[in-house]
Amino acid sequence: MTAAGVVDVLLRLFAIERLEGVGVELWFDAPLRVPVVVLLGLLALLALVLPLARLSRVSWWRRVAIASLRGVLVTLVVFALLRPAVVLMSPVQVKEKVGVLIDSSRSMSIGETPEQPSRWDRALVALREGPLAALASRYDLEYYVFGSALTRIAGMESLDAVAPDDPETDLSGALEQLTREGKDLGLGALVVVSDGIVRGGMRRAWRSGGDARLREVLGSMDLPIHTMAVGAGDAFVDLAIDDLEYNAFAFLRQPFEVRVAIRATGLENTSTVVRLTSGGRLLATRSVVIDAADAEVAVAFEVNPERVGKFTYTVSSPVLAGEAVAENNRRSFTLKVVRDKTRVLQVAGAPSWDVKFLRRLLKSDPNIDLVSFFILRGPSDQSMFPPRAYSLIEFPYQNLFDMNRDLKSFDVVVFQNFAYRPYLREQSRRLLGSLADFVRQGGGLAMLGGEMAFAAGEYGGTPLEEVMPVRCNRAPSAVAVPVRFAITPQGLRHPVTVLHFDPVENRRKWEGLPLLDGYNPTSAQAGAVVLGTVAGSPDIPLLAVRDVGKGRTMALMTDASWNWTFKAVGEGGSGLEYVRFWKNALRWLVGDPDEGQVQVDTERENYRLGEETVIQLKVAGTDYAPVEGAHVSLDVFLDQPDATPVHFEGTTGPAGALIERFWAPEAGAYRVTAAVTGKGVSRGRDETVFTVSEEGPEMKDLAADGPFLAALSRVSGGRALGEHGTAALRLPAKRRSSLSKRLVVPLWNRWPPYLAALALLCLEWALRRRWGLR
Amino acid sequence: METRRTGGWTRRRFLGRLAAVGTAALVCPDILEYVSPRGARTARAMGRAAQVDIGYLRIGDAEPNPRPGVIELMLLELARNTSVDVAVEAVPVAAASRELFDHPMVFLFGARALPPLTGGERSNLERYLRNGGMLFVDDSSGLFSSPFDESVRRVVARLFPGERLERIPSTHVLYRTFFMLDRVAGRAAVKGYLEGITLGDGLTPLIYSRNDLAGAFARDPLGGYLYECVPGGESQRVAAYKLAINIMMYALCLNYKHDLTHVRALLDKRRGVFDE
Repeated sequence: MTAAGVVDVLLRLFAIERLEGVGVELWFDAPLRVPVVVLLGLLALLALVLPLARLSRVSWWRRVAIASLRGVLVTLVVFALLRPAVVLMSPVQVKEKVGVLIDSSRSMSIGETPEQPSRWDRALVALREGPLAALASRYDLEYYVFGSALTRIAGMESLDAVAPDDPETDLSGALEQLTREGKDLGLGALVVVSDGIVRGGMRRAWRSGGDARLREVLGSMDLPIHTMAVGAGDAFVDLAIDDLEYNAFAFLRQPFEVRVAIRATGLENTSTVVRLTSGGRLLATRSVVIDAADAEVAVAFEVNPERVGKFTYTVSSPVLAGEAVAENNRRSFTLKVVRDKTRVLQVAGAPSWDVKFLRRLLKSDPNIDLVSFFILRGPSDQSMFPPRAYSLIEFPYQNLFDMNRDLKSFDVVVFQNFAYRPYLREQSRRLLGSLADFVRQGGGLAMLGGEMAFAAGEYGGTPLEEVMPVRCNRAPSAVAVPVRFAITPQGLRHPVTVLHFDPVENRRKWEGLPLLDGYNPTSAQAGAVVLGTVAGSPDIPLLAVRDVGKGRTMALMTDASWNWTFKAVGEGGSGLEYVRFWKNALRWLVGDPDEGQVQVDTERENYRLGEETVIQLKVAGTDYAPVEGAHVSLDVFLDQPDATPVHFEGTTGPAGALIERFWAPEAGAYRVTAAVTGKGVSRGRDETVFTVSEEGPEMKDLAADGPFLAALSRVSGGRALGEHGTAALRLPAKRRSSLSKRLVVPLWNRWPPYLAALALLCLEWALRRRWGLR
Repeated sequence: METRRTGGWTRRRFLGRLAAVGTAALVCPDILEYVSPRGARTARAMGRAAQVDIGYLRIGDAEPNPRPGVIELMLLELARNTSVDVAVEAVPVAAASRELFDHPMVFLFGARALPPLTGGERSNLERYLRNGGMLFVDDSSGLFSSPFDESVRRVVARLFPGERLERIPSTHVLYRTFFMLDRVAGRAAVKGYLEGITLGDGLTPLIYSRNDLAGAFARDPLGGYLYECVPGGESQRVAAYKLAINIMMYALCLNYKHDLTHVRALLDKRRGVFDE
């Protein structure tokens, strides 16, 4: 009997119906291996049958009968242990499995023209109503969206919850992932629905090396890739600021270059203008002529930063008629402008020891770029040689003191015992006003005493006096009496007069300095901070400072500060107090952003959309000690008119600091303004800027790339599908499904075998009793 | 070698002096006024520290100033020609004293050998020169080889071990601090250049003249010059005046005239005429 015959017997025995076309197999579900069970059965049979051979008093046929019964019984037990079942197999109709990959990157969010639906919407139409709609009836579709990563979605309905806003298009990564997992997934083909603007190396490889290179890049990918290029073939018009190149930071008053790459599509024989602006101010324009349908144009701007700090620059071009995307016509960046060297203009009314030692100090500092002008010969000095005998040059006061000329190139101006009237003549009021403007716009001014300074220099009532820390209204204008410099409580912590971080030691250092030989009596202006006075005369300031507009001024009412260095050395000191004082003074006068009492800043200048911007704020009092508990009001807003600010409120911690976190809702140039109120905070405002830009290159080079997708399908053995039409598609697929339906019918757990075994057992027992066997 | 004129007023000598003063007045009319300080500017500064004076350096028991009154004359010359406010006096200051630092510029004249520097003098003088002080040394002997010269070199070697007096090149800013100079001068013409010590910061705190610069200024009580300038005569004296002013201006302005702004303007000046 063949195996099929056995199966037929079993089917009949167990009354199992077998339909036409259904295959049948016998299958054992034994807990032990089948040979083991059979062996155990044979051993049991021998153990039960062999003892019968020794029973000679029983007739042979009775022994045979008992042995047969036992044999059948053992066979039934073995049958039960083998747990047999029949498997009924019927073939099942299975659809081929196809993966549909839909591009969800940002480039899919645009339309070919402002009037047309977006590429994403067109892709959805193609999937739901177009040529891809019928795929679902023929194939088992699995849907994926891809951008920076591949994500499987439940079905086409889930696409409604997907927004085409991914900042990247990594088709290579998506295909690699599906190649790795393809066998498990049982995919037989892929359909890629995209605009073809793929940012990875795959597209670059095809562009550089054609199909052969693309085939190399696809490597082990063995699935046919069918592609649908959304938007390809339609006219596309766009001008994009494709790329900006600039240095990480710039130096004050040192020109830096901004290189702009512009991509123009569908704009041949057109001209336009590219603008560079900062803070709403137009810095420069460049004309651009586009002579090809797909043109790349480069322009460059040179910017000469005039202030230290962070500044946002915007490169923009007007939106031309028919442009698909307006937002890529404008790009911003924020740049930090730092000071390379502090530019100091030292103007002295006459050479003196005070002038000499200040120049010696400033000239020795590599961080200072010093320009000195000393009046070597006044109008009353005799001239007995022809001009060429002198090494004298014209005093260029008209350039030096004019904000429209050289003045703006300096950070600090030092007037050292300088009387303006003999030199500035009829232009004095205008030029002194220009100097005052220089201060208000962020410059630093120091006036040092002498017989030609302050009231003696006739500065009373001038525009310059308005910005100075002191009024030149006292008589006499100069006093030649040795005095000691007495530091004030404000001076003990002020950055200009901190010679030692410990106020007690600081006071001791000031008190230990040599006497000054004279001073110019003045009186402090409102808003000035008096840092030092004539010892014993607290109403006569010797050193005062003042914040004026964006700038700062300092007045030192003596021309004997050189005593603090040279004479101090003679007295056994180091003279370093003088060095420290002047370095402090210049740092404070230049008013670098990190010298302000309220400092708001961000960790970086430029962020990508979606990144967290950490805003740090520090508050110091007039004595420059951290202010705890100051109330901070912080606004972050797009730096454009009518922008709605995001508002933060808080109080500073023990270190006078506050940190807030901000996520920009959209790309653009942002401004942060901080207003601080609290005890001891005199200059309670500060602001900074930062730029948030689109992440990656997704919004550049936006014309749909149908040829690339066509090449991809060609190389992989797929087909390039049209976006339009409703004909049902038949796609070549690599794997066909061979699944069938299986029905397992157990035989061992049915009652007849067990009843038979019980009956045989009873019969064997009864016969043995009747025939006198034990 | 000094050519000192002594003796009574002979007719020949009177005419000679008259001719000399007349020549000087033609070249430099205001020299006549330097006979007395009447023309000097009234001190205006706020105390002594604001006025420019020059101390006279005393080393040990060195000979007294062999050119008394010359520093005052130099200061007067400085005041007459420049905007510098001077204190017309030359205070003797000991090399080891704290008072040395009251005078950022000191002169030392001599013909005889200087005594060796004591330890205190050496350290004080070195601190003085390294911290902004300036020393002008002038050999009054007018000799090619003098005991003073030998002693000065010993003093310099002790002050700046490893350094020695070097020729100050004609490109040094010293020659254009006020006048454009193309030669050095003094009463004598021993060396056609100055020597000095230039430190790491590029400044030259010690300047040494072998040509008896002070001798060109020295006058008798009547205002006549005590010494002839040889071999150049009065034009050599004028050159000496200019050099003295430049040295004092160098002490005050340092390398000011080496600033790029001035270098450019001075180059332009060759094509035109400017005045400060």
